[in-house]
Amino acid sequence: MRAPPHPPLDALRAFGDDEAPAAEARRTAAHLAGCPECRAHLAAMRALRDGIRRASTLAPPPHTWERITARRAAGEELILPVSDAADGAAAPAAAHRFRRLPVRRAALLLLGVAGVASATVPGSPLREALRDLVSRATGAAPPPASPASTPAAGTPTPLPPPPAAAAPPEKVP
Amino acid sequence: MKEQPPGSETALLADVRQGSTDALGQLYARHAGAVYSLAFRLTGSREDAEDVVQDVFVGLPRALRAYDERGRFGAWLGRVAARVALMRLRSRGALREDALDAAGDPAAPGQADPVDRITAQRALQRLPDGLRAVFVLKEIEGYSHAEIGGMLGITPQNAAVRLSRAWNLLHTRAS
Repeated sequence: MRAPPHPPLDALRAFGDDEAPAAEARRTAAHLAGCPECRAHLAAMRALRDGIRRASTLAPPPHTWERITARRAAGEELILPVSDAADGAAAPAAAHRFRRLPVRRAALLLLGVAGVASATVPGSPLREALRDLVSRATGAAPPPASPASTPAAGTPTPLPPPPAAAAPPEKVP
Repeated sequence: MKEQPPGSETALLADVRQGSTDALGQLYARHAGAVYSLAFRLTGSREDAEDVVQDVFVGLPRALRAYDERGRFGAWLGRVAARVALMRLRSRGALREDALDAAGDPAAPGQADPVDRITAQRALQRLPDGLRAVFVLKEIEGYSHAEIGGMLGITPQNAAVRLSRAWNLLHTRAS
């Protein structure tokens, strides 16, 4: 009869940390009872972890306190991450994406969005200019203003176009 | 308001909030070693660990405004220091998933005995930063996978996977 397979290392770790679910812990304990190799693995893991835990507390270099007082005397103030939300852990990728967005691309994007938004506002200077441009290019009479450009009762009245936009279009040679 | 005995941690914290450098110095004397040790284990660098200690104690008077004195101050300070150290690792891209495959130097012959403290510390230092951070926070500092996930900006499941990978690397090198 073949011996049961060794439990994965993760199962040994979970067993050693008392984190294994009850059924898995029973299986691992039964395996360990008859497997000196896995007992050695578990002992080695515990020894490694305990060795790191026992490592003596280190001391910062002697000049560290002087540097702290010098920075404070210079008026330096830092905002420490006192909570997970404050340390940027939840959204570092978004923050980096924003920082990496080139300024010119961001400005063009903003202008584009503003332009599209403006062109859809009935009576807006941009919308009127576009209508004129289309009519000049096609040689057709300017299309009548869409019903949407005439404010219906109860809808906010758009601001009147500025004088420049109200001026007659230049003659096309 | 209840009067605190001079030199008690609560009295020191109150004085630090008021800007007392002497009180900050006493807190430094009590806790700088623990902050430095934790930062060194997390970053694997003495220079980074010193920077973390400096940043923590420069920012402490202001940060104490957010400390409500529930639980041990040392535990709160350790958590803040861990976040500062992790930010430092994050700023150099060391916590990205693709940085975790850098296995570091292979174990040198004669360093396989995991019982020795120095050897254990060296084995830890050779782990990739992102795996070492999870290992230290879980196995040394005792944080849960959920807490580690919150600190690193990863899921608890991902924290568990990283811990497993860290153990696998340590085990491979030690055997």
